[in-house]
Amino acid sequence: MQEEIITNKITGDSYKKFHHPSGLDVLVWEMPGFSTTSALFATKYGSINTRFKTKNDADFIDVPDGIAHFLEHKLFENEDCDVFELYAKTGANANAYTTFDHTAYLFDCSENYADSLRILLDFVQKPYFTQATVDKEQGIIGQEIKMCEDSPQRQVLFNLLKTLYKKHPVRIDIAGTVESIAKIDADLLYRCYRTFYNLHNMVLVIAGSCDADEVIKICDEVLIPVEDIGLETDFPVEPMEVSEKYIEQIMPVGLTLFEIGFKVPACKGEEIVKTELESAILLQLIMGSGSPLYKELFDEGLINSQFSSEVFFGEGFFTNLVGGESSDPLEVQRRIYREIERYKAEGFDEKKFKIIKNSMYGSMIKNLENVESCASTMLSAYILGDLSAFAPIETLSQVTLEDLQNDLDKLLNIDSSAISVVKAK
Amino acid sequence: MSIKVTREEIAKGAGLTCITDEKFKTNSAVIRFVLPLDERYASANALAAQLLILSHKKYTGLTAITDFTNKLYGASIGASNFKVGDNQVIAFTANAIRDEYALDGEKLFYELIKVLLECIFEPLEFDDKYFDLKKRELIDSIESEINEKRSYAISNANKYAFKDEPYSLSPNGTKQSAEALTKKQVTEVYKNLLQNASVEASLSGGGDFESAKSLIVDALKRRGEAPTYPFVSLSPAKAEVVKAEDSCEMNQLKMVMLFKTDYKNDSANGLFAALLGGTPFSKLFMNVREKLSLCYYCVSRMIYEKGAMMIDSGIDSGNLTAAYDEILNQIEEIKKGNFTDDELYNTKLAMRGSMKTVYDSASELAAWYFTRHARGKTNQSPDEAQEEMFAVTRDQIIEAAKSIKLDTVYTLKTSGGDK
Repeated sequence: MQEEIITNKITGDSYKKFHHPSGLDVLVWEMPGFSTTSALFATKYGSINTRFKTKNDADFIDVPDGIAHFLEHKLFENEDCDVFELYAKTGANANAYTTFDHTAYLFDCSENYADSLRILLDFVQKPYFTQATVDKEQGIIGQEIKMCEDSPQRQVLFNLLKTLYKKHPVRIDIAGTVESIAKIDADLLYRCYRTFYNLHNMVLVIAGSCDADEVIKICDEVLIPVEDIGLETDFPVEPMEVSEKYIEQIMPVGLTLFEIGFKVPACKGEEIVKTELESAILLQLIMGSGSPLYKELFDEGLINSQFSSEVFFGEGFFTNLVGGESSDPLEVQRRIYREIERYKAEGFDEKKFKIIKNSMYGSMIKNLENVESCASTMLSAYILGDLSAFAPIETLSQVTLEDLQNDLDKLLNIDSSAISVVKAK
Repeated sequence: MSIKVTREEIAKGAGLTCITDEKFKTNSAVIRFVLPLDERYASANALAAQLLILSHKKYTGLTAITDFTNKLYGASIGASNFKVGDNQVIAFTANAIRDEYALDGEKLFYELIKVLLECIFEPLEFDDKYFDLKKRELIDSIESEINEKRSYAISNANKYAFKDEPYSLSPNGTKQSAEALTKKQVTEVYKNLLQNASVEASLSGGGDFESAKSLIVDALKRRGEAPTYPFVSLSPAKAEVVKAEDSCEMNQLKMVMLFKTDYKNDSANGLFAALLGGTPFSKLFMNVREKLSLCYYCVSRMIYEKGAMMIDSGIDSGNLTAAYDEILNQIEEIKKGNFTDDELYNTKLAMRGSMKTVYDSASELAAWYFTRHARGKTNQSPDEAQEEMFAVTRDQIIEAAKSIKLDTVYTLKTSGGDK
């Protein structure tokens, strides 16, 4: 079995990566002194993977929106009991979630981690659904979709994605719609399960109080080796133009909410790490709480402390987001555009750039003292293309002011931006 | 595990808890000022806290203070405002990576605490512009409570369940009280906070914070004596159940039920609430949600400081009556002892798990010891608390279930138009 040790050259932290004979990659971060264990068993299957083929299929097939999330719900039910009942005996706190590009089943615990790990690896490999249980789940997920529709924060983001992306499935809510999930049946679920829940398309990450040898021993016992089915996913070609520059929804809220998105050409692998870091630094420099623009907007009462930015990306999509609350979101947008143009013309201050870099370095160090964030950092880096969890902290020192200046047009492209607004009647 | 916890009484009405464990890569401080929650001063206290962070004598205003914390490798400094029992807590916080990770040997935590203490104890006079902006923001945040329907429903339910008790109030006060604030009043309220609030401070993290600790000790000693305010004040059950409702344009209805108890065993009450609806294998989750599909969420938890238990749920409108009946039915089941030893043991395991998890987070440890202090269990460790919880018997659970009395049922209904 291949084994690799991945080390953080700055802090000395390290984790082990195994390519298990079953086909599964296993990442183990032993953290002496910590009493909890956090494990995630994940598949590279998210809401955007609605078109795919395997080496046994002649052509790509398209499936309804929301299946990945639907499957996540259904896997929590075994043939004879609910998975929560199994975890109840070990004391672990279990959960699962679906994102745009992956689905993860997880637990954290402070004792009996080996027993919980056996449960995790076992139930995810044993799907069980009937048409009756699928019908029932449609009701539960329908409730979840309705609950999300009541959240203005969620609506303002998903409306933005809908207008930023013309074709890429990131424009659709992760849970799908009441109509799309009505098209899901047991056969379709099994087909998607067999395609995406192949161990060659999955990863196990575990951090905290654990022992790599014991983890591998459990994998040997529980994992059922499978053949690589040559999975391919496909995405429509996404143009850089946006559908509409402005989208609005009326619902009961206090102050008007807004989210501005700058669409960036999608990228892959290590390029994503660099693009993410550059974006984060740019957003801080131009509109972070220490910037002149923030001061101006804040002093004029155009924004409040809810104002923040985020770098948002995955397979085939990359967007820089800025959002918050304002009595005049369009004026905020105008000032942001103006400031971007100013930096294009005048350039950035070297001293400020260094301070922001140091501040990001500090945040990355902070993340290393938390078991759950260590596990999730390993997972996100793996999902992006088998990257090291330490790639961001190591790449950070290489980002230069010149890179920022050169990429400003690409990362904050006004022509490919839009604003979403949620306001009261 | 090499955790060390100490608590010192710095002066009358001022305590400091220090928690160190070498595994942590950061250090944090929380300095909490505690006063009885009072509708006349809640908004002013909330606003004063926010203004102090912007009123440092050297790093004045948001840009300057952010620049300062960014230079300390993304350290943070801030203020928050919340309630615990009938008290309002204004908490000033600071967090930085340990000095050993600084690239040029800077004394990060010491510098940060020095500035935080200067914000609290030696601020400039509040600036008119910041006063107006932060006042506007406070009003906005009160108006935006409706954005989060679940917490909005809980906050409305509290107004009925704890009527005429400080706990019914929001720690931000009301829109009216925030609108009426003047700079003179907020300045006076700030002076009162400094003088008359009791202080509970925590330092937690990887350690090596002796010099920062001395700054806090000196500042609290200089302040002198202050009164202390009890956090626990049990709420009496009403003679008749109060039923109240509002409506809001939304899809999913919210129901909040509040119960009161005079049973004094916190561990048994907490375990009962968890057995009923605190885990994904609890009575409410397995029956009301999973078997009967009556709601999307249905969760119970104790409000220990008030001797109350809350069940909050998100329900499809058509299922309201059925969900209400089934929730009460599940409580009856526990009263009758209809739960297995396995269910009880598994609930204890889950609670033990969540208590032990606290050991792996410096901020959760700080919050844990503060909460324990508030509940009259100063210095009780997560391990000691879980031992006490594990010793709870089946009979004590039944007694806890029999002691609760339904007090208030609040429903936030869906409507086609505005209320």
